[in-house]
Amino acid sequence: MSKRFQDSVWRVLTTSTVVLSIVFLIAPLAVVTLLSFDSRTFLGPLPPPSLSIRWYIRFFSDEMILRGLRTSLLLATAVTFVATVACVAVAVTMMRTRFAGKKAISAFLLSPLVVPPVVLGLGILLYLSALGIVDGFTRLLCGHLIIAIPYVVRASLISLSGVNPIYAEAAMSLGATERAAFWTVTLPLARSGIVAGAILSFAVSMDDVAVSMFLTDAQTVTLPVVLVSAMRANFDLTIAAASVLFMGIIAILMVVLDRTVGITNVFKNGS
Amino acid sequence: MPMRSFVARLALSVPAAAIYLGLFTLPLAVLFVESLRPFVPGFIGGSRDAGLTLSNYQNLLSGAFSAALATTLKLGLAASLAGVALALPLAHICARSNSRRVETMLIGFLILLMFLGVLVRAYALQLFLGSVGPLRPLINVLGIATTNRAYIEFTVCAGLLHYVLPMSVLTLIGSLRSIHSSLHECAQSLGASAWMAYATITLPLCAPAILTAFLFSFTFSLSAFVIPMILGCGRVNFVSTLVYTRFSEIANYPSGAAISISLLALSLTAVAVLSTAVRRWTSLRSHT
Amino acid sequence: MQETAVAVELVGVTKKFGSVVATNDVSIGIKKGETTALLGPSGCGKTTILRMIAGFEQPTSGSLRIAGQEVGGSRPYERSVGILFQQYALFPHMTVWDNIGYGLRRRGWKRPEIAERVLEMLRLVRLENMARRWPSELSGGQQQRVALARALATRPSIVLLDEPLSALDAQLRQTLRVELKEILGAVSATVLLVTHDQEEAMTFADRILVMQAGRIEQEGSSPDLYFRPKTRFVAEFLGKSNWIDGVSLVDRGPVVDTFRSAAGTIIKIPTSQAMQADVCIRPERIELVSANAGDEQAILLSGTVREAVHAGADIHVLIDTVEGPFTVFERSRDNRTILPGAPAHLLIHANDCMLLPPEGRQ
Repeated sequence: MSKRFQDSVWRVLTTSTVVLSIVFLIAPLAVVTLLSFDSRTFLGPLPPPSLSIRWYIRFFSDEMILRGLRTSLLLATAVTFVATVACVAVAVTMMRTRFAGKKAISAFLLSPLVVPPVVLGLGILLYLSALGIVDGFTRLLCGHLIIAIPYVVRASLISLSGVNPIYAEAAMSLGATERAAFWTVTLPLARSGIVAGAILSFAVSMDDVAVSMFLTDAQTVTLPVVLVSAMRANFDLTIAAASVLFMGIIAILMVVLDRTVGITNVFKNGS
Repeated sequence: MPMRSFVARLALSVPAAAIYLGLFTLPLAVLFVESLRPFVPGFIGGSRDAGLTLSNYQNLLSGAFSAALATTLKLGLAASLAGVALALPLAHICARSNSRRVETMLIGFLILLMFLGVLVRAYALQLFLGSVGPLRPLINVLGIATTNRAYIEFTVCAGLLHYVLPMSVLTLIGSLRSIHSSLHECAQSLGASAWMAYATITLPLCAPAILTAFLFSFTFSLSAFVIPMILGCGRVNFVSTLVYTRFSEIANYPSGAAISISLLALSLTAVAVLSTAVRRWTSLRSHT
Repeated sequence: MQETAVAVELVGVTKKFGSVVATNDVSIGIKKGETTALLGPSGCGKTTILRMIAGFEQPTSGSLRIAGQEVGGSRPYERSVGILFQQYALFPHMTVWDNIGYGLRRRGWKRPEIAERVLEMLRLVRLENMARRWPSELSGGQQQRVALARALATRPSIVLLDEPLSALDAQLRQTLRVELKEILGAVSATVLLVTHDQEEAMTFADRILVMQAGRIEQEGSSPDLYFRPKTRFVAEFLGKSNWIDGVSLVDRGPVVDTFRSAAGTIIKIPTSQAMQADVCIRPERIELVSANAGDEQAILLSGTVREAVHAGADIHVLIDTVEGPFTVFERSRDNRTILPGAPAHLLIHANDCMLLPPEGRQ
């Protein structure tokens, strides 16, 4: 087999793999989108005979869903806010490079990422029950906080350490103290990475099922938990509408972020 | 001056420290203790009065846990390997394509997928691979029922893959970018065909990143909860779903706790082993 | 002692990093308004001195004074030092205006005062209509001017330039050098330039300090160092040189001393104090002549041409002589071809021979 033939085969193979992978990633989402506009009241095979927005109307009129949506949004906002503030505070204390045990502390701060969410969910439930905290929203807040904060920590640490130290030196030579240099130069330059982390934490909180399922109660439910019960119980396409709405919001959010903060650049250089 | 800044530093660390201590370390400790309590059926949770016991762990060795563990490991391994294998050509295009537009679009799309999270995609796959999906005609022709256990396992694996693939691509991009294109071209001018140059030059240099991508994928699969719950149709169980079953259906908290701790141990072991491998490999390479 | 006339003074400054001695008992005095260059190869300690003056490193021992004040131990933001970084280090998240005003804002100046000063600086570097631009929108030369304006805005006691021209191509280097000197001259700045490039040092500075291995080998003006080097290192660092090593005094005359090399070449040099020496001759001072030219005061060396390289304005001729290989720079002339293998006769005038102390040979 000549080398040129090998090259052609190789190219065909890799191109087809890429195409198949992309189709695999997109196709299910396309199917959901299509089905969300299905005019039938039952779940029937593709393609839908005609289109309608009934499922979207259902979504906005279902009381349970709306309640879950409100709770999720509130929760995600609160969690992101607290996590970002706590994280930047910790980053400030770690800004001096000659810090004994810095590596160990970073590793500890990132360790919740390797703990299975189910473990955290059950653990926090038992712990909070033992403390006598039974309010659903508080419990959910606690759970979401610990799963979301490592994302902010990771993004912040990476982007802060990625800022060229020469900017801080230039600032100091111009009269800025270490702290002033951090707040006026280093932190703003790390802004896009930290924002990416905050967005990620918001998304993690909005999407979480594992931890939430342990911590919800009758009065407080998050949107994902509502949707999951719906998925297992019936074949309602309202969930499809919910998914499409969610995809749309995320897409818009990403475009906005890319224009303002340059999110794709943060990820372009590898995570 | 140094004194003041030390106190200030301490004060700034308090919020984060409180979160980690209160919501991470202590709950895990509580979980561990609970796993050592005996379970009395009919009561919620473990009984406080009886002493500590290892019976919950002993019970794991038989029955549901081993089956769930076997499934988790099997499907997790399959998804992680497939994920890394498929991620390489995709990452290559993202890192090296001549068109800036294509790169940005692809990377943007992958990030979009990551932000979508697990739930939406698992549901999408449920519809796509289920009885109303476009693959229905094909499945019928092959004579596979959608309730076939092997098919359900395939669906769960596909679910894992859908999550793991974008993650792996993003992990590999950085590493691929750092390999200077002149290395690949040099190999070809020395007589290697494209795939040979790829196999002997590019892959070994990316090995740490490949291992890292595998690590992320595998640990995710181990802890996966939503994907097996939605796509598993109750028949294919992962360890995480077993924890939830013990909790919600039987209120056997000690057993759930024991499974959780075991899962945690498993996850940490996987991370430790693979991280050491990555580190060992990188230090080998650094002799260049 | 005229305190105000000396902008920066180092006395016996030693800096150690662990067991590595970066600077060894260095003493430098930089006068106000003067442009000085620290010249030396990588690792000679020049960057360490720059960082110590700026305050990013502290001397292990010795004293460091800026504008008469002892600054050892003080932080960079407590000193009056302006730095033009090699990579400019313009803050990417601030406009040109905010960059230049940064130091003034840190010092608590009021808004109107800052505006006045920033405008003044923009006029100085001729970038008045770039005030609202972002650093990424500027060319390299413009970025450098903004970085300079930023450093000068706070009226520092000394401006430190970290290899400002070495990364540029020849054309750009010439243009920027002229611009930089103009701007710095307009504010009568005290300047310390740190570089490994002898051309940069020689064309920019009034006074050059040559450093090697943590010590100052020699200081002086550009012609001083080029025509009167005190050590072999300085002679070779400042330009190309030819050597007749190990000559010994054979006759001390009232006007002229006669030296003799190991190979028998007689060298007549205006009276010196030396007994033994190495003789250094610059390549452009040697003439290639026909066999019978020559005079009493000059040395005539014979040899064979090894190669002749046309390098633009000059031809670099490498000739093997009894005293070793010699490089001669001849002006390019159309009617002149120098072929390898041809015999050559080198005419060296007594005045062009520089005597240097012999350096531990054998």
